Formats: sequence, C-alpha cells, structure tokens
Amino acid sequence: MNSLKKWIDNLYKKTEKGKPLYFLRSSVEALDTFLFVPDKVTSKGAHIRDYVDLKRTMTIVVIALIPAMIFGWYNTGYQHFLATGENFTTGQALWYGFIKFLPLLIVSYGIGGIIEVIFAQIRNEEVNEGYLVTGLLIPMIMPVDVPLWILGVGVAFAVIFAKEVFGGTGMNVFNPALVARAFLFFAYPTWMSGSKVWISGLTDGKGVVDGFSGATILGQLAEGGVHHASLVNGIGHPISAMDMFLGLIPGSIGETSTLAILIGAAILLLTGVGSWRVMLSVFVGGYLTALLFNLIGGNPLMEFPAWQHLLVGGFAFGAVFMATDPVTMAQTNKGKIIYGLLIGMFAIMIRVLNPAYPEGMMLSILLMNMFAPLIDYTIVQNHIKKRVKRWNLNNQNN
Amino acid sequence: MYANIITKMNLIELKSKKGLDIPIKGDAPKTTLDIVESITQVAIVPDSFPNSLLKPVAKEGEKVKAGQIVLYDKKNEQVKFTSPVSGVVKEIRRGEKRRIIAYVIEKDGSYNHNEFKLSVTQDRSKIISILLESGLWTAIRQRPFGIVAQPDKTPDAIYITASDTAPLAPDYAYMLENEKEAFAEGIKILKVLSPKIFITTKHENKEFFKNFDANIISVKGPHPAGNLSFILQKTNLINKTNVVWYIMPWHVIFIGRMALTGKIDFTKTVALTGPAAQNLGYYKIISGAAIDKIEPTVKDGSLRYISGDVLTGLNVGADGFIGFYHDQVTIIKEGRYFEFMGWALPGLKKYSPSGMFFSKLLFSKKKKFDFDTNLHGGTRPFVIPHLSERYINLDIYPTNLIKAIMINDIDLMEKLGIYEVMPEDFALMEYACISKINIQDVVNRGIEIMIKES
Repeated sequence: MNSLKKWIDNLYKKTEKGKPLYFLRSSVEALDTFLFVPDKVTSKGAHIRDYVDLKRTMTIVVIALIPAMIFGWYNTGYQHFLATGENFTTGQALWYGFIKFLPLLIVSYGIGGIIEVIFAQIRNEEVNEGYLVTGLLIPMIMPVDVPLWILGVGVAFAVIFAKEVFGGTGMNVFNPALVARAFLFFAYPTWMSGSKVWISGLTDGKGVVDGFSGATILGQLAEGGVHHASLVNGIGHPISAMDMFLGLIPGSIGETSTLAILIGAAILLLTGVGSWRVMLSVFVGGYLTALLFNLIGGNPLMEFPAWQHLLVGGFAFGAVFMATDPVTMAQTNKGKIIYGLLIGMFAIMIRVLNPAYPEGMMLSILLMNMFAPLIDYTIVQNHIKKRVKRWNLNNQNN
Repeated sequence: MYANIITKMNLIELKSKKGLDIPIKGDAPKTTLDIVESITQVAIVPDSFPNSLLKPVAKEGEKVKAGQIVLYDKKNEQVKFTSPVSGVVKEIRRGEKRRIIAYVIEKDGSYNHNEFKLSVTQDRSKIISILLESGLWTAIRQRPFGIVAQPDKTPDAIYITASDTAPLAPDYAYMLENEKEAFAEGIKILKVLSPKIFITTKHENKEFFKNFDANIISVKGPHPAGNLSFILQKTNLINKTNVVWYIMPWHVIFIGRMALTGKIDFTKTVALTGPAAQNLGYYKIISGAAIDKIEPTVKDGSLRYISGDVLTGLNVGADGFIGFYHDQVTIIKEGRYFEFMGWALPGLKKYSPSGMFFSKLLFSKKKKFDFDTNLHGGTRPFVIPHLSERYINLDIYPTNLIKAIMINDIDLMEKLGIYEVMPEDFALMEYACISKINIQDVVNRGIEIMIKES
C-alpha cells in the first residue's frame, strides 16, 4: 500500500506545473483519488463529515445497473440464438451477450473518459465521477449491433455538447446518455430503429431462420397492426406479459427486463440515491395515460393494456435510471412529482399517437429535462408568495 | 398570528421531525469539577463574534480591572468588550493579516473591579447603557443575522436559548441548578428591555425552567429541533423590519449577578465532550479560559480542539481559549490519513445516516461512534442536494437559497428567507453533503451581504 502511495506521489512530482507531463495532472489526481480517499480534513464549518461522497453515490448507481446489464447479456444471447435456431445453454447466452457488450462498454468509457479528462485538465479541476454512470448507461440503451464508430460519435457528441459545454457535471440541462441516444436515433436511423437492429446478427442476416422477425413489441403493435393478444416472438411463438416482465423480448441491451430494473430501483431507493417521487410518479403518469387510451380504444396501441405499456419500450428503464438523474430532474419535491407525472404521460402519448416514434420514453424525458427548471421556478415562486402572505398575516397580528 | 397566542400562555410545545442526532461518543457525565482557582489567563476570542471587527483599547502590557473596556467593535462602536478579570494584557495573539485571534489577559492575585449599579428599578435606556459599559451587552444578540444586538432597536421578544440539541450538547438544567437566584434576577432585568421573555428548552428540562418568570418553549425531536430558527419560525417570524433578541443562559446569570452584587463575575460551567477527550465532564471556569486548563492538550496536531460543538464550533487549537458563546468544548481526532479504496469498500464499521453503507443495517440505534475530521472525499459540484436537504427542519428551500447566495442575488435571498436562517441551521446539511461543500460558509457569506445592504 505504501509503495503504491509513493508511486503516486512520484507521479505527482512528474506532472507539476511547468513540467512536460503537466497535461496528465488531472489523470494522476483521478487515479490517486480512485485508489485512496484523500487525507483532506475539514477547514470550515462542520468539523465532521459523512463518509458518503460523489464516488460512493455514483458507485451505488452503477451497482443498481448491474442486474439489468447482466440480464441484457443473457437476452442478447437468447434473442440471437432464437434467430439462428441454435440450441444454447444459459452460460452460452450470457457469454455471447458479454462478448457483444464489452466492446461497446470499452468504447463508451474510453472515448467519454478521455474527453472528461481533457476538459478537467483545461479547467484545472479534478476529474468527476459523473461519467461512471453515463458511460455505462449509454451502451445499455443501444441496439446491440450498433457499429462502434457510431457509438463513439454519439458518446463524443453527448459528452461535449450535452455536458461539457454547459460546464460539466452538475451543470447540464439534458441527460447526456439520452442525448447520445437521441442524437444517434436521428443521425443514423437505420442503425437505431426498425425491426432488424435489436437482435444480434439480424442485420447481416447470416444463418437466420427463415421468416424470423426481430420486431419489438411496440413495433408489432404500431406497424404490424397486431392485436396485443396475438403478439409473437421472432419465431412466431406467442409472447406473454411474463416474457415482457422478465425481459425476453427484443430491445436495447439493458432496457428489456422490468424485473432486473426493479431490483436496481430497490437498490436506489434503499440507499436513498434515487428519488422515489420521480420513479413513482413516472409510473403513475404513464399508467393513467395508457388507461385513458384503453378507454378510448380504436387501434392495437390504444388497446394495449395500460399495465403492459409499463413493461415495454424502455419505460421502466427510463423511469428508474433516466428520469431520476439528479442533475436534470426537477429539484423541488413537488416539482419532482409533476415532472414524473408528465414524463409518464408524454411517453405514452408519443408512443400511441405517433407510432413512428416508439422511442416515446427517450423523447419524453428529454422534453421534461428542458421543462424541469420551469417547473421548479413555478414551485419556488409559489413558495415565495406563500412566505409573503404568511409574513403579512403575522405582521398584522403583532 | 403566533405571537398573540403566546402572550396568553405559558408553555408552548414544539416538535420537529426532520433532523439527525449524530451518534458521536463522548457525552459529558454529570459531575462538576471547580477549577476556577487554577485559571491564570482568560481570553476574548474575536472569532466568536461573527461579522464584527474588534480593535484593542488597552495595549499589551497594560493593567486592567475587571469590567474595564479592553476592546470595541469597529463595525458597531457602541459595542464594547470588557476584561472578565483584573490583571495585565498579556498577549494580543494575531493570525493571518494581523487579525486578532485571541486577546489574552493574565490574572493578578488582586480583584480590582469597576462597579456597576444595575437594578430592575432603572429605566430601559439606563439599563442598556450600563450593559454596554460593562461589556455584558455582547451577550445579547439579535435575529436576523445573529450579531450583537443594536441597542436602539426594540425587539419583539427576548429568547433565552437553553435548548441546545447539537451533538453532545451540555445539559442546562444540570448546569444551572445552583444558579437559580442569579438567573431569576437576570430575567427581571431582561423584562425591562422587553416584556416578552421566552426560555427555550429541551422537552426533558421544561420542568426546571417552569420555576422562572418567563414563557417556556419546549422542543422535542432530533437536532436541529433546538435551533432558534426553528423556534422562531413557529413563534415569531423574522423579516427585514423586525428583530428579536436572544441570550444564552449563562449570560442571563452574569447580568443577574451584576444586579445582585454590582460586580463582573464571569464564572460559569462548561462541558468537556467528544470521542478524543480524556476527562469528560463539567468544569466550573471563568468565561474565556484556556482549554488546556480543563484537559492537558497535545500540540502535535493529532487532535482538534473545538470551542463549541462538532457541527458549528470554532477550531481554536491546542493553545486556544473557549469562546464567549460556547458552553461546551469538543475534542476529536484529526483525520489526516489516506484510505485505500475507501469509497468502494462495504464500510461495515462506518456510521453513515445515508443508506449507502451496509453499516446502517448492522448497528443498533444506540451505538455511539468515534468521529474524526477527515473530509471523506473530494469537493465536487453541488449535486444531489436531496440527500442532504432532508436534515433541514425549516420551511425554506435550502438548495435554492444556497444557490441564490452563490450567485449573489440579494433580492432572491430575501425572498427565500435569508432573514430567518443562520449558518448553524445548515450544519447537518453540510455534514451530509456528498459534494463536500462548506455550506455554512456560504450561508454566512449571504448574511454578511445582507448586513452590508441593510
């Protein structure tokens, strides 16, 4: 341990200001604080501080994402082998998914990380931990066969234009992971939507079973006009609501399993990191809106049972991991509820009324990211009005 | 609305739900040791008077009597500070930029003192002028801002604050047990200054304070239930145009003693607390005594000596003195150590009120912990405030207020309630802040700005 510390101290010396390696300074700092919690003590105010820091908090979010990620590996393999008609074991499916996911993760962390370090160095700040989460979220919401260069472009765009131009961690208006996805969705639609991209190996079509379809649930409902009772998987077997809940359906890598996502949600809520107000109200908003459409009826999407709406199309993933992004969500307690309800509502509305965009959740969260400050502003102004009123009342009676 | 109800009743019971009692080791057992005789030096610590600028009147080496003016506040020249003992100005200890950090007076054996004829029969302005001359005026502070009160204002009420709920706070019913007479006399004098007197107390001590001629406000709940801001929000809202005054119990006694004897007598009891303190307990001292008289201090920098509590106290150092408004000394370890991968380990032995360490599931609620001064992380942008905001028990939007101060928006600060808060109200939020921001410092900056504006 001591030699490790000495080695780092040595690195600090080599990267002092004015030395040729100065440009690596913030990377050394990042490495140092990664390995060792610093020996800094309190100087002002409270003499004792809690053990929790931003690293710990971000780590908790990463841990909460792991169940969904691992299930994503399995489902990647499962869908692939379904398409090729091969027999497979759970281990093989997991391994297949892992091998597919790993390059995406490396590209995401690699490119995003380098950009973060460069900006930290320019600003003369410590490298922030925020990207730990964003860097994992991005590959989890990608179609599995997305080319690495496209992913790289998306990551770079998101980190630079959604985060760093605003001032870095804590200053951004839009969730960077969703910006990455939205950017790619509109820039490279052939790789990001349709019925072929969700299952590994389907785009090049080699070895795929005849007549196999890779359409997502929402795809089948919207384009195929299939009634929800007749939903099928790639090889024509019916899909049950249980399959949707467990996540054995085509979709982005990490977003299909509502079960795994709920495990993550439990971790976020038990640790207090995630906002229950936002999570709950997104689900409530989505459910009520879908229920309303159920009552109206008319087409397969509108008739799709409200509760099943919450199981597909990344709804749960968005509610648990995206809407609750502490930087881009509404900050006031009442605001969080309004923000959540509207996300749920718009997600279903976009999905149902504009079937060309099954990405309702993504667009809805980004939209509400933009309105979150306005919601907060209204709540705070209301609070201010109440304060004035209370003060006047108090004053009269004194 | 509230104030009217109060004048008609004697006891108000308040409850606070939000907050946290930090389970820190080192509560003072209820035994008192009288060490007044051993005290050779006392000091006035300017840092205990926020937003003031103290200038010496008596120079180093000058002889002073008890009750003689030795310092004054350049920002408010009516406010004067007097020597609690008779002796010699031993040292004017200065820190950065020649700022005075301790004005030390060495006791001589004699007791030369100024005489102050204070009595309840005098009128208000006479009492105020005597208090100003005797230096005891500094005991009376005002809200908003928590500075020494402006003598020309009339307060809505005077609050005697005996409801300290901070970690390891001393027990006032125990400390004041033998001082009832002077305390009652002090209250009589205060009544001339304002007819409305409130004593704030912890719920369990309310019986003790019922013996006095004042209204009682008892508080129940975790810290910061006892903070004056919480109590004022429920009983007497503060804004730009009105003030209340507040005073600590020992200072009421000082005033009472002066009325009874005509002399300055700053003898009081303080509690020695904290996980690194050896001789825990209560000590009878002279206000402004050195910490090393209570407990032999180590000067190698391994321990932090705090005048006050761990959340809001002053770091006065091993050779430091106890501040004027502090009835407690806390000693904790300095945390200058590196921790390998500390942020990633399960943290089974670490206490954290957050759910992010497994320890929360393992420990019983009664277990007490060692704490040190390590920051436990690096400073980061101000994110995820909902994790720390939850410890604030005031009807305000803390994060919005803090941000308004950060961007210097005076109008917004006013609207969001800067007049109703003190840095101490944000101490727990600062403790729990994951971005390690010095929130109390920010709030203090906001208050400074408002003082300049007003």
